[in-house]
Amino acid sequence: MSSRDIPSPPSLTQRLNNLLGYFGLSKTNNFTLQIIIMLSILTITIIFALSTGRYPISFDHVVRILLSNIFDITPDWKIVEQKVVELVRLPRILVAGLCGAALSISGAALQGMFRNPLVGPQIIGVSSGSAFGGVLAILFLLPSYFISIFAFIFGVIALLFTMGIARAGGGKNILSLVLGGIVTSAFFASLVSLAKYAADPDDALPTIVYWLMGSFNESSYSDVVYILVPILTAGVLVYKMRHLVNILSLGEEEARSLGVNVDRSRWTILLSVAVMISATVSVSGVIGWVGLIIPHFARMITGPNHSRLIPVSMLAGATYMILVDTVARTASYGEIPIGVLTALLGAPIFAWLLYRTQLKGWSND
Amino acid sequence: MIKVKNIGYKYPKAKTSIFEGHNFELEAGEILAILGPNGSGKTTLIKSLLGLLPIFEGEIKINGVRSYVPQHTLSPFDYSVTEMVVMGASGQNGLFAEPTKADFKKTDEALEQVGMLDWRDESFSHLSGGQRQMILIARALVSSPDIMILDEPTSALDYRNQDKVLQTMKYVADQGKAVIFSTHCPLQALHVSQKTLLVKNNTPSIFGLSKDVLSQENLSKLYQLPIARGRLEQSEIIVPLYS
Repeated sequence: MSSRDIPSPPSLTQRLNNLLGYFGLSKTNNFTLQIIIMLSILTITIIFALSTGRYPISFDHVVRILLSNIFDITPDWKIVEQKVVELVRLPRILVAGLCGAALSISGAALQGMFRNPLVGPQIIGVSSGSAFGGVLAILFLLPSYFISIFAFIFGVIALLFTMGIARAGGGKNILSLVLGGIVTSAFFASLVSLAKYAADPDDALPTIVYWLMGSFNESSYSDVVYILVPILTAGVLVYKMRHLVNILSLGEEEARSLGVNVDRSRWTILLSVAVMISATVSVSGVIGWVGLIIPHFARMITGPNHSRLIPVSMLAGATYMILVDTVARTASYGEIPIGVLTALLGAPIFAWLLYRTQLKGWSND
Repeated sequence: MIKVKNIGYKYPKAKTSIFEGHNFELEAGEILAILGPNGSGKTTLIKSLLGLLPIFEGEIKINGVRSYVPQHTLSPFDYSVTEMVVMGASGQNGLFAEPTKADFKKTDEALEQVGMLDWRDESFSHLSGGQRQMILIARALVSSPDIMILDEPTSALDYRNQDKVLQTMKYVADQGKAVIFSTHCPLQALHVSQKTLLVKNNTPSIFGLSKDVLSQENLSKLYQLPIARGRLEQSEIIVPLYS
């Protein structure tokens, strides 16, 4: 058959590709360039965040303090500056970056798998389960590391709940999974309310309320270590499955007809997401909106192909979270809860993204 | 290459079956058309042949790799043509499958075979219905199948695009692959397929050479409408005599 049988396609894309090719930017190189630019923006954001705060430190000093860990640099900065950068701000920024990346990877993978632009990590019930775990630890006045452990355990319990309800609903399909997630979220949200009701109004209740609004205020290097392993392991797993997310986004039947073991793939992704979300909630409380809006933003940059979308979402999510956290700790005399700020910024940003993209990257059929 | 013996399917807990007693055989290089009224279980039969639905009785013997061309794809994402086609190659390679250079080469070859290589970087959702069908056929070709199964590939297409899809199916069969497709148009079956299976609820299916099976009598019974078969100039035609 000849391609001349069919009328010529619109040439604008071809022209653009030719132009990119002229500058040595084929599609693959273009993606590499996007990653390089985003990594540079992330690095600048980290330095900016390290230098910004109640105690301002110059960019130059921040860079030299960081480099002094690798190279032999004669200190020309104050000891207090080094302490603020390395002991106060850096662990907080690392935790914020890791959480932002984890939430965004989760959102991108779930939106692809559920084939729905309104899906965020909260849809599978894990956030609510983790939130209840943390609240429970605070309610019983357990040591602070129990908040993390309980948040993680209840996050996984919530996922098992969702899976159980989905199976009891008779279906392995996406709809029964979403319904399972909604039921689980509602159930754990009521348990959180019950815990609040039972909490001591002078002691546990304010801690619960503040913790639920989310904060990186008490982040330390032990938090970095604690979340690094689960987020890295689950994140790499989702990253390795990024091509499969493309196929899963075609729908269950089509994916199966293309030779994919749909159940195994789906549960591997869900379990990875649950691990990442639980780890996030355990150190920072509940942070909404990031996993929802960042994949849309990333799709605007790199298109809908998840092999590019997932890494771009990861970098964009880390950058966004560090920026928002910098605002959270510097915008007012007190600390603004990060969950409040992400929601406050998330809603208008989501509306703007919708206006800008008209859901570009999503088929309008 | 394909031997189907007395197969039947019913939904779990259902009393009546969707279909039963289907028998047919198909060799490499042959095309089989499946015809039947709406609700006669054509799509269910196709899904059973693909292994997507388990049969409750009978036996399916398939010797070779199957690939599927759905009526349309339901992706909500605006993938490019290449991205869409290469998925045909990477799906079977496990959880961490990544399309290789060889997969992209196969993708280009498959697009070339269906005459769509010029569209490789275009957005899939911007293509016409006929072009999309070609891309889905290319995606099926990428998995190097021995058997290609198409679910009503021409149902939403105009005559010219129907012809293109039929010619592509013939081309695929000429490459030594077995092709199975369902259709509502007996004329298509007569023109491209060597064999035809007529299916209808609660009635034994009829299988044989298309020229024999697609008789006026069989088709009229199948659709419960008078259907005429005759010649117009050099071509054989089949037309429904609408009431």
